[in-house]
Amino acid sequence: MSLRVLIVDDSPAMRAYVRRTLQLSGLPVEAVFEAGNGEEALLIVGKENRDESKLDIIFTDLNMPVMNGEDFVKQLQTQETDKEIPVLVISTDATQRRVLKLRELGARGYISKPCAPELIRMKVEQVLGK
Amino acid sequence: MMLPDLFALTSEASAGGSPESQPGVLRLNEIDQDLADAARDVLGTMFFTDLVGDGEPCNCEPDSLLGVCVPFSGDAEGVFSFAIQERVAEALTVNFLGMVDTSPPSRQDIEEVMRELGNMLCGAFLSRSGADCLFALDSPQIERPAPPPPFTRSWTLDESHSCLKVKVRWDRLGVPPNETSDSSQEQQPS
Repeated sequence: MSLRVLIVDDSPAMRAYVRRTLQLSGLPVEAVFEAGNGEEALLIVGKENRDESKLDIIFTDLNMPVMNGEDFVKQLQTQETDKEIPVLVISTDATQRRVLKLRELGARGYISKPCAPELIRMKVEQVLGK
Repeated sequence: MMLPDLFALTSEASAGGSPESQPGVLRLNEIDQDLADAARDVLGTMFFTDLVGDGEPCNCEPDSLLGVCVPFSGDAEGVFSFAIQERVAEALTVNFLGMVDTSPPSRQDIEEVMRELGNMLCGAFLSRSGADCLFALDSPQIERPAPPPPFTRSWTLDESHSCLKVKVRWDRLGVPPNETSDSSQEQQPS
């Protein structure tokens, strides 16, 4: 199985960190797509999540301009074809109230920053059931 | 409520707060320790460096400092900022992006990584001070020159005896506990 991953974060530095972590993780990453906010991410999901080549996992930040991570997760859940994509939230906002809210919205997991590369790999494996 | 494993948080700041924590209430009586813990956590986990000195005098020239400020709002409002030497910002950028055997990072790379460092330092600090509070962090902004003293806290890094200085300004506290009744002023340097 090869992985198609979408990273949603307004920080180019953080997108680069996650991308590099995935590429060095030993996970079979086929393609990494990047978006700077939730609105851009929805466009990529619409284009790249097709029957013949679905997205396998989405990483998203919370605090972003234009469309934040919470609204992005909400929007994703309204699309029958897209709501099955596992979403992992990566954020500095690690308060329990926020985490519970994201879980209710449909996020599949939460990674609080700072996060070591091993943690990102472990969460991906958990989400994918490895 | 127990969180499933995928929602289990790794940071000590995120385990639901101290036993006395209440929703919307900041815990500011241990601000120095919270700042130090946040900086250690962020720098050690993602930048492969550590704090080695605490409050030691730093001889760096103020004009060699790069600053980043992060306004925050929510259960409390204020601005978190930090200052760091330009050469150290470059070294931390190399560590963060894993730029081994490549050309030096560009100014844009350095600024993007320093913004992310500001985001993480501020978030890690607020998560400790208000474990049951909700915050929204604005986009971090680069400041040249760096914010002036006084700083709330400063440390030496293990990168060539350089320094990291942080500053917290509270503009509004949500529901201040009794012991923080005078905390609406800028914190004094320690």
